[in-house]
Amino acid sequence: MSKHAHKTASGRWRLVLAGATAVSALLVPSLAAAAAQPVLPPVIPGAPGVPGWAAAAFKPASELGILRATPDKGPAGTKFTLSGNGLPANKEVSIVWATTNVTWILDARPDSVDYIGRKGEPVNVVLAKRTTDASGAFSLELRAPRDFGGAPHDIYAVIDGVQYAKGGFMIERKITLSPRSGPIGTPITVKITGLGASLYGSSGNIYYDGRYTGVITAVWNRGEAEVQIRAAGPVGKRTILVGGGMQFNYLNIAQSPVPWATSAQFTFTVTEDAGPPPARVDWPVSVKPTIEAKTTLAAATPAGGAGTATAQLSATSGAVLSKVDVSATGLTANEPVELVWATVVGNRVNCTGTCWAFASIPLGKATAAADGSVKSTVTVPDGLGGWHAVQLLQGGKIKAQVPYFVKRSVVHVPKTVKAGTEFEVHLKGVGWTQLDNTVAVTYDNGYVGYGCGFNSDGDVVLKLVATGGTGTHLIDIYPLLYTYQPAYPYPPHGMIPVLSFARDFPGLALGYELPAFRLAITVVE
Amino acid sequence: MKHLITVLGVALVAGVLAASAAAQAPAPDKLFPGDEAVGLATGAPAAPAAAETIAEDKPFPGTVGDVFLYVDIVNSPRPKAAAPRPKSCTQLSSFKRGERPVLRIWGVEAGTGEVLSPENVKYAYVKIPGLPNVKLNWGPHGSGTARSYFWTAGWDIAVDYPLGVLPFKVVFKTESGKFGIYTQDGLPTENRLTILP
Repeated sequence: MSKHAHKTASGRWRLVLAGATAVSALLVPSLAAAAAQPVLPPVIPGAPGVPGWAAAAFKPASELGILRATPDKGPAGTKFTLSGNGLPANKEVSIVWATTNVTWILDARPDSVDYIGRKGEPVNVVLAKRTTDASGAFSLELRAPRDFGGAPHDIYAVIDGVQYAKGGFMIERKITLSPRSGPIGTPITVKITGLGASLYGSSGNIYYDGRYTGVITAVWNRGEAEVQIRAAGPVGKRTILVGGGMQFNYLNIAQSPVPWATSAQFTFTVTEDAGPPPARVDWPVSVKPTIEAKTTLAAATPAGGAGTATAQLSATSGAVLSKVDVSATGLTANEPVELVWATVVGNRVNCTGTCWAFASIPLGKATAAADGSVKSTVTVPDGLGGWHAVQLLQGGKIKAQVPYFVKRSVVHVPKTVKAGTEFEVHLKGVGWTQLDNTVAVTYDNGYVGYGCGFNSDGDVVLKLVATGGTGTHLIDIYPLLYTYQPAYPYPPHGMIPVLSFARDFPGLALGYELPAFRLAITVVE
Repeated sequence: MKHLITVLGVALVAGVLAASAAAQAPAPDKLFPGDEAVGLATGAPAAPAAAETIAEDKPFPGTVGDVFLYVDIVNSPRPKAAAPRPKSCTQLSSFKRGERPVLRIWGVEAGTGEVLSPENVKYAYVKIPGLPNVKLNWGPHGSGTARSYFWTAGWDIAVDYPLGVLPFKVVFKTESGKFGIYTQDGLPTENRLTILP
């Protein structure tokens, strides 16, 4: 295959490419328009579901009474008594809980995935049913469901489709942090319940000794989040603030319309510097994707080829340079087979037009056996991360293809760095969509910047500076939601470390496996 | 961010109202610095603003009405059971229990173009679940050139009043038998008057 690039007047390299073999099959309209869609949430292990069954539509009575909830606020799980009177006597009353279903919005196009934001839809669910007594009263014990917090949940007493009385319960935010002491590198778990459904009040954030670490969201977890950071030095008492606000701390949130979005402050005692903790990779939870169209795979739907063959890979994900066995059946017997890697080339920087396009990389050649089968081993190219496809072509037409996800990997981090000097952390397999083209980097839990992998074909060399004095220092690399180009109106949580990536990241719906890398260096004089 | 109030309430209701304004008038509010006590006043109403041409526009949320209302809500400077906010008379849609919301209403009878005032209003009140109707009072607010007349009704949110959206209803009946009713129906839930702990 051959690549042809040209440089625009602005100096940026523009696309590019003309794959010799598979081009006809791969070229589809780049940046093809597609509608942004709320994503069907995947099932997150352990996440609460909608707290009741869907309520039938109802209308308010001309005289609306009130329901008493006692207590009427507390964290999820709080027991409370709900009572009402003045209702129709001896009638079944549905206790309807007003809540919201929230999800991420993505524009999953053939050549990329754009992050648009989040969306909530009000929904009423039935928590319980009771029968009013002869005087039209009722009372029952309830437990505040595991649900979004903040804005009070309206509670209705509905009889025969009419809302006769209304009350409310506020699920308060609860924040815990553990452990409270340990050496540098100790994993610190922050748990939050009661994050809100609407944008403001829906997220938290962490500040470590006043340094911003990242954002915590709970879109697909009905307000519940669990994240980890690591204890950074120096030895002594460190202050950890779990703040309110949308992505940064909202310093006067008590004066806002969401005063319930409270924060909590903790002290963590760093007991010692016992040297760098072992490097670690934290992967997200394993979920079943809800969106099957995965970028290039969807783009390369066999148009010319009949798609008569079927193919399998020995693994569906791995790092660059992984060896993968390919097997296929249904090919034209005794004919040559080309194995091709479907990817893209380009970048987003200062881009206003067509900035990338599909590319195909030869993986090898084989010949189909007399029964139409083929077996081969291919090497995942040292290129972009994210979703790709291994394609099998005969006569220039795609006969079969299989998706493959290239995982991010760390190829180099120095062990020792002289104080005040620059050093490099080298990554591979960074992707190109707005879900995976960028990583966010913290140094001792302070957000120091991001790195993109699109222009450099998945290869990212992060330039960092050894600060903070001698001793152990932590480098954590998190997933990030890219929101620059193309930019959309008000996508929240963009360009910052997503600390809650493991359980609440829109890419989970498309099968993206984006980890956090937990690294460390020793700074010396 | 929430929209704070909005609105143009419109009424097409005739004969639906069961209750009349029978509530006790609340203590007068002082809505602006230098305010005189607010109550039913006999002074001449402010002249209606010159009508604008909005031929193609549809009023929110309905299409045709006998009476048009503008409704907003501000915080009283003197809540009885909550700490006063640093700034009062600010348009808000969420209030803590113990605070005192004050509805401010301007109205026009569509057929005549007359500003709603005690001269042409038979009764006016706010209906709040679980409470007696709260009477709307007409009077002057502000001072100097900023002085104007409008309707107000305030109430102290009980410290045990239910949390959440408060579905209040504003009701006007004119001497000519026209009704003007405003509810928050049609507003997103998060934009409605909401009671917080």
